[in-house]
Amino acid sequence: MMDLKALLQALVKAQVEFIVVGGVSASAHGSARSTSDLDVVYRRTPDNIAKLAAILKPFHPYLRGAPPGLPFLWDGDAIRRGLNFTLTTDLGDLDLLGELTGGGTYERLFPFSAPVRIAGADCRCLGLEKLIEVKRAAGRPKDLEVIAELEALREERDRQGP
Amino acid sequence: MGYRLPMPTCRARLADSGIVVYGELRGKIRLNQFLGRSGAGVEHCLRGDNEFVNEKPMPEVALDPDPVIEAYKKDVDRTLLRENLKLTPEQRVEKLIAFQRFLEEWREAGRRAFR
Repeated sequence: MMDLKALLQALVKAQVEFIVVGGVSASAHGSARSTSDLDVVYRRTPDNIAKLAAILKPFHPYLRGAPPGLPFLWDGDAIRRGLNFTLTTDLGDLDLLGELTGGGTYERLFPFSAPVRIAGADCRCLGLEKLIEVKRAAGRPKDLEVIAELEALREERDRQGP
Repeated sequence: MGYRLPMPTCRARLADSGIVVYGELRGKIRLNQFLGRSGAGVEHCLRGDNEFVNEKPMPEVALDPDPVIEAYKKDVDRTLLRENLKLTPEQRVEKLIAFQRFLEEWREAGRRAFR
């Protein structure tokens, strides 16, 4: 069961520095497509990694698609040694990205993000232009329809004006 | 293309990039050891060096009209987009959450019905 609201609120309450990207970000811009996970780019500072490890631990993060029973240890060291994690948690699927394909790190994406209130939580969301750019840069065939919708969205938004 | 980190003892190929990376194993069984052992889930991994990440140049992206994307664009239902644009970002995400709940109820009903 996806509890997007609780997941976002937990990250915000723990003061984790992150940027919402992917499907939830597209939704915030007006996309009509559904998504089944939350994608965030997190800042890879020791302090932020520690917060991320601590806040997610009670929700039993585990590698999505991995067989059950593996001795997977979720802590700051695991995050530091890894980069991008596709996780299941008690609150739903979460993609934690240290680097976004075609977009880079939190620091690189930050200037292209804006504060937005999502699901009762004040967080940062990647801008529409950058979202289109990173989707294009990723070059995945499955994203072509998504890019088409995002570009149509931009056209509609620009047509309406401020 | 290969990048070598200090004390290499395992390696993994990044899912989409073709980049081979090397990491170290020590102490308890950890994520990278699981990946090195099973060969699974390489998309989860694995560049444990933040400086390395920051050094990677970003690819240049052409944002000119793409004929394939333009072709897909013709089938986009813009009436849905126009309705969504009338909402605030928070309302749009609330709508997504409501739809996710609805889908979850349907899945559960399906599980019960076709068990």
